[in-house]
Amino acid sequence: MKDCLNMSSFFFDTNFFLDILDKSRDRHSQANKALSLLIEKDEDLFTSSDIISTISYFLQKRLGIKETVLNIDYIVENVNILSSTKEDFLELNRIILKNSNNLKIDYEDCMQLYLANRYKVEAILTSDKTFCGGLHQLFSVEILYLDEYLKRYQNW
Amino acid sequence: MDSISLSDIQRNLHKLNDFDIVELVDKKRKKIKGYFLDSSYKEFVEKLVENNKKNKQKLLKISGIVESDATVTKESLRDERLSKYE
Repeated sequence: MKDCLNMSSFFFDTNFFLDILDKSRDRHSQANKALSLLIEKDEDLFTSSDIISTISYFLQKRLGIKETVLNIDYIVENVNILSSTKEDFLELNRIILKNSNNLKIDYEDCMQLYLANRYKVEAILTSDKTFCGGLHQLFSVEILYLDEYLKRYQNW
Repeated sequence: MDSISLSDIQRNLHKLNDFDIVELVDKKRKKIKGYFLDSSYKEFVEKLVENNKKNKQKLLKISGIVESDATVTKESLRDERLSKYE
């Protein structure tokens, strides 16, 4: 596994965004610290259009449309947004069927993993310890847990 | 834009002197590897990088803008969104 200190491109999972946005979450300060580090290092940041939709739903329920739009602007202006094509869905379906021994895999998560891998992003930053378990070994993108990322920096 | 192959550069480094900006191509893999910019653009590039970094700082504005139910998960959000269509 490549050391995260040597990585330069990171994909944000939904959980990571939730941890950043919501100050009442346990991992909020951890996520905030990680985001500050990534910005300071000027790393390439990625997420997907699906994740933006989920986040916008979360925000709109809590802040209203104007605040939501403003904050989505901040995100999409600074994070690269990846979207799936018809070919991506077909290819992912093929991969899942070929490796369907793990029935617990989550289709939406798998698409995030697939997209990150396709665009050669080096790591998916998440706090979900079950993220695409059983399938991520098929891809070269690393699953990087928030606590492990910060721990690596503290030890550096 | 003009382009030059990586192998061409290896053999004839001086060719870069002919360009202000040129696309660097890996002909074997048919891929654009990057771009060469003359050192006279140093200040311009540094400014660009600095501005980009400053803009990125705006991303921190999204931090802690919500104080909500800390138990929300992506699964619960998904269920909540689906319930709109019931």
